Amino acid sequence: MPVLPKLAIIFVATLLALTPVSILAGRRGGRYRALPGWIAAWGWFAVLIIVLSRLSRAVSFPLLGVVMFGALKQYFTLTPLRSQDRWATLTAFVSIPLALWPTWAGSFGLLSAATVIGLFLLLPVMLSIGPRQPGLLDSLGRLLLGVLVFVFCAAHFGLMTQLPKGSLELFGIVGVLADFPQRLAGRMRPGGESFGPALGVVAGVALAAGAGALIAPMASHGALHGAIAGGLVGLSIAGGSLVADAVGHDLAQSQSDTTLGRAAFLDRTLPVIYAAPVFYHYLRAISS
Amino acid sequence: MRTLKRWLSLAFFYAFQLGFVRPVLRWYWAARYRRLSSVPKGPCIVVANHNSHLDAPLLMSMFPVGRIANVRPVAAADYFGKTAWRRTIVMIGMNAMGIERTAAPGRDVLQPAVEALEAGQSLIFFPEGSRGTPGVIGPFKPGIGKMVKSVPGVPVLPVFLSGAERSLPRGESVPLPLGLDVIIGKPRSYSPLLEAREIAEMVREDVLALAPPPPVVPGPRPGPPVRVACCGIDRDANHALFSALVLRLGSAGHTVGIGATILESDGQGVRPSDRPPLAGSRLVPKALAWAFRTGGLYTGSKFAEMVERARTDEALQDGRSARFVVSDGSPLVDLLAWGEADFYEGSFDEKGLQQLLLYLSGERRIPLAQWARFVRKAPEVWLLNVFGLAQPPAPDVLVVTTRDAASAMERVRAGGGAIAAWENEPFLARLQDGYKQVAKVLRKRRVEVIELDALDLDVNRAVEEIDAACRRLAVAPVT
Repeated sequence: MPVLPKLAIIFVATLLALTPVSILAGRRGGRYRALPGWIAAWGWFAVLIIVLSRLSRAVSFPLLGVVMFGALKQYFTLTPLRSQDRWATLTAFVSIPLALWPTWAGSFGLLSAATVIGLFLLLPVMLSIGPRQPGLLDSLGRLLLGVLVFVFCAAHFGLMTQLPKGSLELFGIVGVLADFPQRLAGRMRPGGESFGPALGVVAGVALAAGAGALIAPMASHGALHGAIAGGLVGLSIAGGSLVADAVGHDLAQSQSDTTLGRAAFLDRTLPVIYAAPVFYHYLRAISS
Repeated sequence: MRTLKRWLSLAFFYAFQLGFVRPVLRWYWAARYRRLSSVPKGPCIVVANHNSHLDAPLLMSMFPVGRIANVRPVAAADYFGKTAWRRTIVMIGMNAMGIERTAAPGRDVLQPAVEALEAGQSLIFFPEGSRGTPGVIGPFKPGIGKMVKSVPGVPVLPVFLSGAERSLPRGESVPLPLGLDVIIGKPRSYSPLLEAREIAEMVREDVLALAPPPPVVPGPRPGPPVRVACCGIDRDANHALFSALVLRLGSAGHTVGIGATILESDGQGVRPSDRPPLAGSRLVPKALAWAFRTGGLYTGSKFAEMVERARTDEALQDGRSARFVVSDGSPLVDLLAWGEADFYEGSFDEKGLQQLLLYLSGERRIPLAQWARFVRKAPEVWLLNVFGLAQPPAPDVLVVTTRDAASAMERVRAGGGAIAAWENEPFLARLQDGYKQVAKVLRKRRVEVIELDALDLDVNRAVEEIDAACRRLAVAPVT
């Protein structure tokens, strides 16, 4: 019987430790109200990460595909395109297996060719076919952001399975530890309070870097590289949160809707997915 | 032979529903049902908006599996009976009841539907008649009214379907996996004494009341309308300005006037609005006002009226329906001024105003510890906040008419109507100060304030000044 890996246990224990804190903080109201939903979303991430890390690709990749499909569906529900952009939307969905195939083969070059070159150049053409109606650039932005985040960036979770064992759990641990202080301190928003959120980012980056330094040796990485990877994840999460918040604002969602309503989906998933390529490419670079 | 055919049909129906419709709705679309518990246990008439072929399956899957054989979508026989394929899928797979859309002379096309209801079956109705333009809810045909009149005891369940119009709109054959929402209302009955057309209109209002705000689609977006509110203790002066402004601004862009009635104005003059009310029933606010004894400007039904006006104003926010919104009084400004005059009794400062503004805009809930104080002194604010009845928008241009309290009181007396308890000289003076105080603070929040002396009011000149301010704001970029 296989022994439950140490890093997976640490990851689950971290989430379990943060759960009561998040629930109790959630009862305080205000910006903390979103914390219970946030930790629940991390629970689902943990399932995905552990399945990807520990089960065979024949099982875990279809699951990743389903998750990417669900996320992209939710994204397009939230950010609809123009009515004539149906085929481009469908192509975005079809691109999920196209992105997973090179991921399965462990080839980032192929993934770049399939998504960056193939898809990102093909989609504008598809949107330009048909009657000339206003909103092309807006529609294109929505479509490309969706494909970039929920296909291209999300496919990196699959690529991470090629890294040394435990790297995925390491990503999960530094990710949740980087995200938590930033959520407690509140999001950076143009015109909003800046000192508290900046402090949150600093604390998140420091915590993730510290955790990365401690845990990385368990995943066959050096402590210094673990710290740098953790710090990079913290910064990427801050950037992703800023994007999620700005998208919610552009979709005329109220402040509470972006953290608790339907747009909360973006707030909870986008920052983490945003951090995946940064983490993967850093560790890949140092391993080679 | 007939029994065998019936059994085969039933087997196909269950196989189609359980093996295809429900799994696809669940796994491909992940359809979400809100307030599923509102679906009546007995027979009912389900009424929904109709934009897609997905609508009937979505509504069928609201019902538990054990009941679906007794749920029948009413379908147009002329369309769905055309080919064997459509007949099989719709009439057998969906258990639909085909009715003719145009009645032959002397024939009641709804008779089979009435019989089905009397036999204990539930029906799914799309009173628009056809799928129509995506996202547009057309008028409801009076057939639904006739049906309700024929079976007065059967409840009507209003449902709003959202998302299907984008997933599979009319004219498209490839369904996109986008989110589907089924928003279920409360079942209700309608008086059979009403005209069929009136019932159809009421059902439409009930369905519309469930509609979520439309998603922001790509393309040029209209900014929010410019809002003008005429406030102050001289109600005649406010009304005169309101009427003149609705007419005047109508020439600059579509204008909606929110007064005792809703007016619309454009280049062709002013007319009463023919759009259906957006606010739904006044019953709940009225009952709450009665239970919590609202007072002052908003006693009893006046409170419900204010809620309806505020909701109508809120619904115009997206800027697609109006360029200018003129209101005779403003729930936000009036409540703030009353707060100063009555609730805070002269101790109103900017902090108090900010707090009240947050409560009225729904951004912050009144803390539990403050409830008793608010219920006692300002139940209107408490009801709006705690029950989320409305979030009255702030005006962009605030017109405050001033008048000394003595002459205002004289005018009230000269009006000859009943004098309310609060209509006395000292209170009117306090209220007047309240309006001035609110105007001062709103000015700091970039609201353009125009103060006018009601005793020396030249309506034409004042309207010119306000019109210029509104046009300036209408062309200013949205920040």
